[in-house]
Amino acid sequence: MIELRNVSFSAYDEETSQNNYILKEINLNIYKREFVVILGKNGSGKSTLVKHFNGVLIPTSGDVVADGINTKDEDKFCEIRQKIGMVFQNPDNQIVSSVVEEDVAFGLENLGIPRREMVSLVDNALKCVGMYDFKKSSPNMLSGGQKQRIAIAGVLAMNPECIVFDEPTSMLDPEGRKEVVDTIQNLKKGNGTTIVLITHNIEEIFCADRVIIMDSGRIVSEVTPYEILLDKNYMRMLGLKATQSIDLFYKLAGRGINLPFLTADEDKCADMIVEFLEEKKCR
Amino acid sequence: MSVIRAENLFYCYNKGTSFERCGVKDINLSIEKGQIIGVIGHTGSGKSTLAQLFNGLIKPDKGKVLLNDKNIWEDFADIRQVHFKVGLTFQYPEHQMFGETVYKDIAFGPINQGLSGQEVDIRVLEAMMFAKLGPELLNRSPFDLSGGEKRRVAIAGIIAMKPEVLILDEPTAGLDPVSKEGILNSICEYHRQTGNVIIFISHVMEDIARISDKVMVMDKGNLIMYDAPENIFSRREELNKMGLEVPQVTKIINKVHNKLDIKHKCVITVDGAVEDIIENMC
Repeated sequence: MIELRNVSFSAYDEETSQNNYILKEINLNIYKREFVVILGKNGSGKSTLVKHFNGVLIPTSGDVVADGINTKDEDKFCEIRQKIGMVFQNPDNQIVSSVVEEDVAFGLENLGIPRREMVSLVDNALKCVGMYDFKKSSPNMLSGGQKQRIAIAGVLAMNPECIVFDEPTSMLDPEGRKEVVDTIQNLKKGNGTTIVLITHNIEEIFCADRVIIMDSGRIVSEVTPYEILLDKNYMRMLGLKATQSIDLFYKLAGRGINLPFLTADEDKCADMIVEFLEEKKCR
Repeated sequence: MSVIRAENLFYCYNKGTSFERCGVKDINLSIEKGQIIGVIGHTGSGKSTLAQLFNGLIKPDKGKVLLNDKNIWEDFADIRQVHFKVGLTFQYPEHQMFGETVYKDIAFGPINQGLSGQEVDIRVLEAMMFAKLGPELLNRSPFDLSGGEKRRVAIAGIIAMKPEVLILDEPTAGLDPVSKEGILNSICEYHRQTGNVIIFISHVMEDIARISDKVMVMDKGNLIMYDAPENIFSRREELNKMGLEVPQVTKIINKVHNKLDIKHKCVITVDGAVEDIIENMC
């Protein structure tokens, strides 16, 4: 779906008068229908990397080929951005219109889609994110989670093959976060959309097929979500905050109680403790 | 002795229009010296309105706010002093920075308090120490700093006024986990050293459970609960109805207790959970 070959990206720094490399020789393939999570500290190059996927940024050297189109091909800019959509951190920065349905239709209008078709595309996109009832509302009356779902609908209406989410939940409250995470998971299941997700939130990595870890502009490893939990060094390096279930696992181990496996899921964690206590049978 | 007390406090927005909505309704409470108070509530529940009433930024429609047993609105000329005594940081305080240098930004409050140049310097350095900002940042522009550092500069600007009551409105929102932890530790350290009242508004129940002596639960402008965190988080169903959660370890231990038919005890921290499990071993 997206192929990066030897991609480097540099920016000129006026203070030091030299080129700073933000991305260094990145090779990466993202496959169709895959769910990829990108992790890394602030400033590790995650956002810069994903902005290369649909030609928002063009590599200083190397090539990015998305669905057969090289992002350097200026004639195909529109096509590539229709295929790969993006959702960003701050919901307020992504809303352009004063009516929800008009906001969702913005991209389609620019593509010159006939009105009748547009109405059904917008309705479907809004249904998909569970915001159909709000189609005549004004976005400023919506919560952060709702606004973020409108932003997703706007991308979805373009019928993209891949959606890139750049920390879509970091500015939301817990409820908004859950709404958005559920929406992303449904996209993967229902529409088979390829998904790339940048996040700092450990609970959001578990639906991923593959986790890519970045540090100082390079991809330093590719792991499964579970491997991240197992290695405390990963958590520290990535600045991830352990869930309480993970802290509990390690603290119990420190007291000589070894639970069978690590999990961020509270139900699984509770089941393990129940099993452990039942084995002890001494209540 | 109560430091801050609210009596029959009311505040409504858009008064006299069809959009009238009360942000705070008939609130009565008292905050004792030396406490850390956690405030939780769904978006729009009135948490921030209450914070602004305590700080004297808005005037109650009815009722009183008493600071050290004195009504803060008794004499309008004194309200400026209230702003200094009750320090308030808003959400995303780094959006409100304006100083050319970190020093100027932090010094703004103390200078307006009328302190001498030397005193201001001391206050700035002290505040930076609490906020874990190195002195090498003094002459940097705050706008060149990372998100976490900016937030700490903004909080240091309030700490520098040495407020008797420090109100922090979601001080960790939108930061990465390492910066969040740093800010929480700074808050605890400040409290340990000064013993001043801290009011801490947050959506993160794990943090609330960890640092609060007492927790306020707000819903639709009403103060629904005001109690020790163990008692608050044992009322999970009521909280869920208000769109609020309990800490993850509380859920885990609740489930364990239910399955094994152990008498309920509310656990709110990871350390508490470890002890509870060991206790139930035999």
